[in-house]
Amino acid sequence: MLNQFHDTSVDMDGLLEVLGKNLYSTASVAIRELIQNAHDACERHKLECGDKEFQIVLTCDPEDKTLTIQDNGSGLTRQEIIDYLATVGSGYTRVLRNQTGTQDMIGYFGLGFLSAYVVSQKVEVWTSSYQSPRESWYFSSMGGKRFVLDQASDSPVGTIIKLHLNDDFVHLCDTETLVNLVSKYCCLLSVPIFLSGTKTPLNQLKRPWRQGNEQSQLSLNKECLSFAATFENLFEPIVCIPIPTDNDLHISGLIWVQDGGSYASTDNRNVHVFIRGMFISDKEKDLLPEWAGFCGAVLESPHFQPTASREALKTDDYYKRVAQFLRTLLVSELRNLVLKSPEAWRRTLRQHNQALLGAAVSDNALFEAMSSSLQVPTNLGDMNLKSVVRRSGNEIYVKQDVENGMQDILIRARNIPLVLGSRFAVSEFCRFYANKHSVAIHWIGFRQFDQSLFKSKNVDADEREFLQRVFMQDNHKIHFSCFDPKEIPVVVVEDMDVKLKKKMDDDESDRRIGAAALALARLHTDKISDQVTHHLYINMDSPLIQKIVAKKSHMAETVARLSYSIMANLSNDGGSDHLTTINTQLKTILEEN
Amino acid sequence: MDIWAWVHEKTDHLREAGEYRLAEIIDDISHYSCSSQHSKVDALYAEGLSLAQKLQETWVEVFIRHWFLQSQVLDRCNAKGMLSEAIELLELSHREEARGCPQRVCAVQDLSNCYGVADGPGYVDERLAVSSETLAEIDPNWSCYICIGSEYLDALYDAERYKEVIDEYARLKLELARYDKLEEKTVNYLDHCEARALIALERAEDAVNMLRSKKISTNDGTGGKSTKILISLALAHARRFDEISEVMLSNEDVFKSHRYFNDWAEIQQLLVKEGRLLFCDELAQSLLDTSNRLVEHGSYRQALKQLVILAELGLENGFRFSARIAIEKIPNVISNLNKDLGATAILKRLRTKLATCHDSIDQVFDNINDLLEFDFESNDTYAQALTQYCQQQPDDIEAVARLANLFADYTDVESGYAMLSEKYLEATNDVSLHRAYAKFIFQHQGIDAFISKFQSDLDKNIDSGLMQNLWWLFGFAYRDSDPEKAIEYFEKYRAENKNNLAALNNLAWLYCDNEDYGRSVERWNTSIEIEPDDAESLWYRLLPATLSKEWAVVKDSCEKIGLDINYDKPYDQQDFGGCRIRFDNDEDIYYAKRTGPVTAEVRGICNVEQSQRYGQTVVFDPTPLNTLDQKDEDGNVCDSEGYYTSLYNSYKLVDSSSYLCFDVDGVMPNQVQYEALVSELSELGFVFEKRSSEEYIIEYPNEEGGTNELLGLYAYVLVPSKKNMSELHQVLSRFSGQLDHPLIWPRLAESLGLDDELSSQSEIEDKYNL
Repeated sequence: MLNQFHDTSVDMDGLLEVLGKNLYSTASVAIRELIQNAHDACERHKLECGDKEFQIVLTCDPEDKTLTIQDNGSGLTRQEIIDYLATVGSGYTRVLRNQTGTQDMIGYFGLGFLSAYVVSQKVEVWTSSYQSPRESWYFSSMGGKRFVLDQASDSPVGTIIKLHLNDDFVHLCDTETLVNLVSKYCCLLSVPIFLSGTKTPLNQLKRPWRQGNEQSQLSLNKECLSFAATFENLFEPIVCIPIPTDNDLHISGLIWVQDGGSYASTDNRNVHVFIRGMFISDKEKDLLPEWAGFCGAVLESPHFQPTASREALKTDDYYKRVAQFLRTLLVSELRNLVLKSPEAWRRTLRQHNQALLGAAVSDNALFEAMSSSLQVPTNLGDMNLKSVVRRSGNEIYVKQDVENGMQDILIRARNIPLVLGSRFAVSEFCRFYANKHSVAIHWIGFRQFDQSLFKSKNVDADEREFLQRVFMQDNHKIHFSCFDPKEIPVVVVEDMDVKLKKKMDDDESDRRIGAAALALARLHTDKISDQVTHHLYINMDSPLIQKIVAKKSHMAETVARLSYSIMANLSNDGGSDHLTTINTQLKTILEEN
Repeated sequence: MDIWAWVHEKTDHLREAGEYRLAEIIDDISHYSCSSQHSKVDALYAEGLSLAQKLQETWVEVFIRHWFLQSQVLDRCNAKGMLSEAIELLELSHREEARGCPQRVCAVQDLSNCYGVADGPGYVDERLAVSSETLAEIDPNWSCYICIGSEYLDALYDAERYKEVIDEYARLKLELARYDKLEEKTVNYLDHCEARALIALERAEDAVNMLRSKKISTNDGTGGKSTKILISLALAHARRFDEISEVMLSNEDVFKSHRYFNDWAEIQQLLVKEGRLLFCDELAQSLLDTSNRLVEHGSYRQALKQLVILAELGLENGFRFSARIAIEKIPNVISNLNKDLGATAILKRLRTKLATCHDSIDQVFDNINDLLEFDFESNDTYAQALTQYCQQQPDDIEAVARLANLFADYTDVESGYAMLSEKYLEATNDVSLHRAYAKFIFQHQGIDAFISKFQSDLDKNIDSGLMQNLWWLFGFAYRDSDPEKAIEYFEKYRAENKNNLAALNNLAWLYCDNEDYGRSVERWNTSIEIEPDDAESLWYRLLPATLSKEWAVVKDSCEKIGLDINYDKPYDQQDFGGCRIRFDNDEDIYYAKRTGPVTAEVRGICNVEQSQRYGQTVVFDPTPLNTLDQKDEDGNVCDSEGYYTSLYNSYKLVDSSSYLCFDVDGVMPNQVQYEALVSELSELGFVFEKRSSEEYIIEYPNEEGGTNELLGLYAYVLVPSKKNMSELHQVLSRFSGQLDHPLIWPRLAESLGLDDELSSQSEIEDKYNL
């Protein structure tokens, strides 16, 4: 059997219904498409016939349920009406763009006029082309499947589109709705858009990045802030970063830092994307780095590829390059803020210090840019890590949990900053800082214990023997050491690995945990020796210990044991046994005196 | 058990109880973990854990710790750092208070994953036992059934029992179907296991078809990404190379998560072998980097695979230096595997191949300069040439030092060190070699290693050149941590190198930081003698000179810089106009009066609730932080942020006066009364600042039922901390008593504990709507 070609038939009603219902997310987008067509008609006129004072006028008549969009652009000839207005998927804009390379026209898919049928039961068009200004045409269609095309009485060059709105879309001829719609979608369009009977255009917003080079930095800053504010509902912009216009990606726009947020980890990225002045989407937050949850941006580029509905962008190679470019730009400009705009940096820091800590650990370059400026919370107040390191002697002590333990006491007693690492991103930031600056970091809490807090000390055999006899407890290992502050005579620390091993060896674990899982855990814990359950650090610099050693009396032994009991109790490791011991020992001292 | 229903219920309860943050963290941590946003997981973890522990929410604690482990172990293959944590979590999740917590099962999986990540094939039996045991406990209604099932299949795969993987896959699917939980349309982790088995059985086409017949998760999470890289791998094995780029993950995604490293490396290897990709320095470095990252995380079996691929590709493509580095790293990796399983044989084969493989350069260089100027086609060939050169010219210290540092750049610090140290031991008195050796240790092994290595040499009678090397490096070693020691070493160095500006400037700053201003000035003086036109030194000399009140030196600097000074006034009581001072520690900025070339007195008053710096005197770093190069609308000079004054960093707080701030509120007294109050307060040493403007109007109801409107007054009064606050209260009481409309100062009254006064002021506050 021979292969044969057949024409595919199109069910226009069905197609319109599918496109109408599924292409656009809201009816407002349909109006945007028609305004865009009007705009492109003006641009076409400019290209083919020359410049003049273009305008688009919107007229709404709620009683008649009609919305009219009038432009004084190029208009259409009879053939163009047939070729472009009455043919779905065919647009002159694309033809012209391919011919001239213009970047000023917005349309792309030739689907824009289709949107008229999405919201209207009837569409009427009066148009007169600059190519044949004495001929005017009337086009009318109910639902788009069939249309009437006739000569019309003389009208000026341009196009009038009148939409007889479906009952479901009557709200589109409400003035307020229309103003909001134009403000959102068309705010950057170059052709002024008026509401009928008014003299002030609805789209007056000027792009700060197109204001020319003679503008001072100061006034550019002000304009950028004011421009950015129009795109923020929840926050005020506090610092703006204009995108340099000479970039290879031809992306322009503005990034800004918001004045506040809820939590430091909250993502408030607010990105508005425009293509040739027409708003496309505010859902493309991934164009900014994940860590920039405190930033907003307006981005414009003719090279973004919209989806067919033009309500989103395709995540193509260009999109990814822009995201990479913006990431690099944001890092370097935040760095510039640190170096060159101290007031702006102060404002940013005051609002977003915590978020920036999180951001800095997500991005090496950002960390490099601001690690010395960000502040971390400490028991002595907020301070940057440079100050922490200076005050701690090239070390950082980070407390990771909320409970106080023996090491906390040591650090606090030394009056050096103890970084509160349980706050958002603080621990990670300290870890990064310590790595980059070769600073020793000590983790306090959870299951960590840092033995480097104690320096070992050689002790005479006599003293060693005496102290071991006085202090030795079952499964304790005594370390003769010296540490600050000297007022603390001994420190008792439980070995966390042994504790874990004990838990795993406990019969309770056999009862609760499956045999195979327990066996797997014991692969590790069986290697841990349980000879030493506690480490006892005797501070040989302590005047009390020195006195105990010097006296070597019965009372000295009692005092020594008492000091052990008190310190064991302070380290939350003693329980009631130690309290009983303390009482007994105090009684002994009283009796002896 | 529906874990997510529990999560929603729990977060609702927490929000109702006002624990919004913990609720937010519960929502976020699983999301961030699934979407490979590891830094956010890490940032949230400590915060979430401490909140859960504080509220004694054991289930929430298990939940947070589990998702942290998922991110650390599954995604970042961190077995080394997380094993104890996984065991702790296993214990916690099986305690009485956690009984019924659905993530008890996940905790078992986390532990099993630790071993799977460390050496999957080496722990096959244990992993099979654990996943069988867990599967027996749950049924497909549990959302983790698929995860545990895939664990089981993974273990079979690691045992190279590929046909069993496919059989078990079918059985698990039947089981899921029996519970109506089989989601055939979307790829899941069981499908991944089958695909891997199919690839291993040389049925890559079947793997591609199976994966492509289903929907790939598009939520950008690890599931979707794992599927994409697996399809890429299957395509590579099926030799459908042209299709790979459509589905392959970006390098950014690959390098974010260790879990993708092996698949990525295997794909690169297949592409290079097929001639679709050029092996280059960048690829070699990426393989080296990924293998190092896997070793750091204790993921030894995967690290071995990366190194073997690098070695093979290097040897086959003329990257002998990279191959050598990879091969030298393998023994350490093998020593950490649970079972050898042929690893040693692979190493032996690679070593043999390396020995028989020749360098890919033909040029012979007679001197190091020719070599350095030569345009090599890759870093690797440069490294090969340098290696050859060092073999021919073993006494060329510069070349040896360069090669050692090159090893370090290729993350093989040990080899670099071994080479330098061998050389050093041959000629311990060679000053250049000693410098290179010491500097290498300082840079690549850290300051502590440097100090412990060379500390004892400082007391020995060694050659002056060697000692100078040490003094210089010891000066840097202690510069941030122990300025006195740093000074000691830099001074020793300077004694032998009188005109060394770097030493002089380092010393001048260190002395100044150490409050030895006289010596700091001396060092700057010497520096200025050597470089008389260096404005920076002249400016910086002003700091110690001002702090030590060496006014003749200040005058000298001012004259040389050209600063306009009123010589009739002290140098720190000049009128240089306003400036702003930033305090290093809090980043806050205060308005100040500049009282000298480098001195200023804070004049800005902060809000009443904030701590005050008013009256504090500072010596500041004279390098301005802003530039006054703009003009406002009126033509006034300002910076780009619209500020009219220069901004400086505070260097040293000279007078730390402190004030307490209180506010006064009420109806504005008449002008005479107002001026009298201001004057009296000023005479008594209080600082009064009116904060309200003409727009502050007080509206209060009158007796006729209408509203009176009067101009208001809101002001701050600063009380020096040494002064008695009650004196201010007395002045205000007396003054207010004379007014028709009394004022109020509730914060002061509260600080003084004057309850009666507070209640009477409260009545005034109500009356005037203050």
